[in-house]
Amino acid sequence: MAQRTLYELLNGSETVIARQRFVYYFVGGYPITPIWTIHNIAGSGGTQTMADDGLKLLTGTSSSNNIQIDFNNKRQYDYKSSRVIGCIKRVSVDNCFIDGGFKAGYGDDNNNLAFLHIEEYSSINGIFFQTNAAKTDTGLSTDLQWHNYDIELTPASGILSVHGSISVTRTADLPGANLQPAFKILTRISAAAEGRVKYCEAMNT
Amino acid sequence: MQSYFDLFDRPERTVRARFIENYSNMNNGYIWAIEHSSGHSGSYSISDNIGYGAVITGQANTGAWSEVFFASGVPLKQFRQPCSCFAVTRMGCGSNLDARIGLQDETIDSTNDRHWGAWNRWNWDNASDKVIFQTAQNNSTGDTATDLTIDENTHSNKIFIGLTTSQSSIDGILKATRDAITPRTHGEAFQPRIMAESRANETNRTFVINYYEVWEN
Repeated sequence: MAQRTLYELLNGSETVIARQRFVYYFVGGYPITPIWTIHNIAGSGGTQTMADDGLKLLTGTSSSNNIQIDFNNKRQYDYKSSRVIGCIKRVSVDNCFIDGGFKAGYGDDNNNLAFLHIEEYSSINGIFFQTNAAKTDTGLSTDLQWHNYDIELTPASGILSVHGSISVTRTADLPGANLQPAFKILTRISAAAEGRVKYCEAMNT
Repeated sequence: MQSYFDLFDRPERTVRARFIENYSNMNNGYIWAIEHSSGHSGSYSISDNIGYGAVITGQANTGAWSEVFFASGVPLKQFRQPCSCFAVTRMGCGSNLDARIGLQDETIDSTNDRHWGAWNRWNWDNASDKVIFQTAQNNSTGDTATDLTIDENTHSNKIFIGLTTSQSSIDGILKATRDAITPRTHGEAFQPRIMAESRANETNRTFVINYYEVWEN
């Protein structure tokens, strides 16, 4: 057999029973809605549209308006043994945050999540590893550049790598429910916040 | 388990945009915007034949073309140079078809092949009947003829738009390099493009595409 399968390339062998995997590049002009659902979690008027540099996320225009795209709560990823990879950036200069990673549900809460959290607001300036309501500062400066993240969840820890370097391990406040890939953006003021999403990969490990 | 990301990217740098289409399900028309030459129509559809993938056809009218890409009107240009595409194509008829496969910033208009881009031109209306590598820079185009005679076999096309040169490889062999009239002086971004132009008033001047991959380098 001359041709190798992508399955072999990713899993090493045809004898390996691979676990679930999802890969999505935010390219092309076609709608993402057959796969992703957008939730206006707080407020209304938030949108997702494709732009030259990936998926454009835009919140409503009132303070604390926030939106999330996800799998409409089809949670196929194990909170004790999974991995999520993505690439996101803020476009709005300040007074907002953007999250990328895993979350159970789409409520206006901090329950059962593992996010790369990029925020600029008042004294909260930085790039954080957030699990549930707790955050650890990566020490990286918040900016308007793209940031790759790789979050691995194990029974006892969550490990965040940014741009290939391990930056934060969290062992407390870890999610306790199965998860879906999710991206979220929130405005802290009465003006829309804007961000971009370029890539998402999720897998059970 | 290795991640797809590990296979195609490097973690220390920003994810490069990538598009992969296998043309192996019932419909991929939703992926593409389609335009036709003025006053004409045409079609783009998934084929019902083994090994065909998608087929694109201009109206049976000399000079009538149809073209698909990511978005018309406001173009959607997601692949910034240096970038590449790889496509598996074949001529679906034995004459009077002028087809193009590659990368361009915007759709063509009444003046064909304006703007910026690079593509292989499979033109059976050409006296030499050789595949031509064409590049466009700010509304000018330049040609380099390859040594490949056009036929109805399936071929792979790899187009690279670098910062100073553009290259065309066919069936894994470098066929043409152009460093003039290429997008080398412009920090441009592109979208994939497939085009078929009828060169006679005949039906079924079809161009067949089996695979299309586009990525930023």
